Amino acid sequence: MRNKLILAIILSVTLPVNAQYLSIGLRAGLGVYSMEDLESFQEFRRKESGLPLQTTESYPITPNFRFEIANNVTGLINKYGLFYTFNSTGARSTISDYSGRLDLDAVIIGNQAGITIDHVLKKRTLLEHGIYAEAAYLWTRLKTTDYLHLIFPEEYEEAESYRFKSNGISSEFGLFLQYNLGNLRARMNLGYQFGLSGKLYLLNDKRYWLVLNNKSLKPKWDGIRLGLQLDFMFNGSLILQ
Amino acid sequence: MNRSFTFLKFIIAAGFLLFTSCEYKPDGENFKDITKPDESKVIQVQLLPYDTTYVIWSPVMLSYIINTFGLSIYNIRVLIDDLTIYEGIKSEDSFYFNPGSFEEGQKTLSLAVTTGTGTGSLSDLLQYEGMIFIKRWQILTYGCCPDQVKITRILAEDGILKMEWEINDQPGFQKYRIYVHYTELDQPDYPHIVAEFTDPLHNWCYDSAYIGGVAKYWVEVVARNQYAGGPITEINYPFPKLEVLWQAGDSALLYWDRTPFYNVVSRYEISTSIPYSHTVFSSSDKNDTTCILRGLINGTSPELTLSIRTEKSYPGFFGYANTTSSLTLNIEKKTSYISSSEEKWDFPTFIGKRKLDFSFNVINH
Repeated sequence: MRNKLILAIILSVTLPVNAQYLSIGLRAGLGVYSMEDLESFQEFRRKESGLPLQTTESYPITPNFRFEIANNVTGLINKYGLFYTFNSTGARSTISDYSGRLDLDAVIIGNQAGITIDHVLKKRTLLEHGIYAEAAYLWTRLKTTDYLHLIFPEEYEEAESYRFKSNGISSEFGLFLQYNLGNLRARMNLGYQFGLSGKLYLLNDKRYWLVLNNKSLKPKWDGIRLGLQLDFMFNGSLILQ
Repeated sequence: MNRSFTFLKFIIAAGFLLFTSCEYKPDGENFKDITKPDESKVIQVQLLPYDTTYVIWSPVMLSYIINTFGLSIYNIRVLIDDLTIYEGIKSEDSFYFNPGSFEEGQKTLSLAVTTGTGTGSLSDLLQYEGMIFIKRWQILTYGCCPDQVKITRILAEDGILKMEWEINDQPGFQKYRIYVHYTELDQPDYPHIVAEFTDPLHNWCYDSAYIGGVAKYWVEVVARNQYAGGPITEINYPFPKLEVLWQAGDSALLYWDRTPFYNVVSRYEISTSIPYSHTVFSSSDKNDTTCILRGLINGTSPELTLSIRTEKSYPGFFGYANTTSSLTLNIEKKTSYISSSEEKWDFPTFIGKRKLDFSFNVINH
């Protein structure tokens, strides 16, 4: 059933047009996100520990990965398609010495599934550039882990984890530069993502969500994203066969 | 075509692998180069009142002063052998020690101070790493109650009851308290204190109130402000009994056994109720055992009662008479009577002082 659904989606974006090419692409990119709430939350955790922890990383620039299937056409819109993007970043406050270590980790994963459209500004050369826009459903998972491992004077280990979830939407606008080489197309894009996410609920109990200073914490996936993508191109008749 | 599909499959597989392995993994380090705790550290512990060995026989308050030279105190425990009697965190405090809660004997009093190491390490900050300093003192404790002592002997010595008991020379001895309960004269459960002695080696006393009858004696030891009553020793020597040795006409010779405790007698009295209640004989001679009555009223049957009073008495004794004995005379001839224990009469030779054998069993309850 699921396969049929996927096939129907693919056909819906590929059948209605003429002179079309189907492309399947894989992108690796870098993104930097604001994550203000979660940075405050990490700082809160650090202070609450009462220990001289140092936050060594707080939602830094991290890679994201994307899978895309699109239809490449001529006209105002030169490409439209579906994509899935995997984003992950995190934070750590830690201390370690001869006696052991304590880590307060937070790992956040953002999943995006949406649609993308391209408009090429300059055509008919191997090297093209243009603008793109995307809209996606965004679901986020946050996992916090307090990990204590003491080795002196005796070994002691303790870990406590909580999982949270949040749903929302996102959109991204940007520029791209791409180079066509037969069935392959290399592409670089630079854009800004806007994210709108809901509260971070406890994964298995929606009665509880993260609040700090009477404010509900939300993941903020707003930020600049840079990506390198490789597309494999098929012509439309290939799919129809 | 096949190459294209192979490439497509490769891209999809690589995508999945990439996604699943690309979850962010924090790897930051904040390593502090701290040296391990110095195990040669010492602290100062003082127990007050200061002593090297403690002999404790009554509840005491002891104090301690601890100087850890800057180390955080996590816990302070005071133990008697393995039993904790105090727990706290103050560097100066007092604790109560009641030796009555322990068996007597030599014990070890330990003051165990748990402190941080002061290294500032994670284990130190989490109070998982610490040092335990223990200082010990030898103490000698005595139990909750003093040892009981029992009466070893009761005898008549020079006409007075004397008792002896075991010696209790435990530390903290305060006094012996000797009790008596005269079963036939006292209210139940209201004994009298015969004597008290604060010298632990003084293990004897006299009861100058006992003449005869059932009496229960016991010795209570008071030590360390606590009391231990010893077993009861019961004696039962008969009261002197009034008898008629000889009667002729209006005269009669009365006789009673001299009590072994004759020396406590202050007065013998014989009274009658005929024709009215009055004393017909009175003597302060402790050795008296006879009485001659003359002038007894003809045709009467006077009831004569011998009362013996002692030099010492206890509150609550009824009528001040420690013992009584009665008999009834039947007089045939009317005459007047006089009485005197001093008057000389020719008595049958058998009316002499009887030899008294004083011996009875001591019953320990």
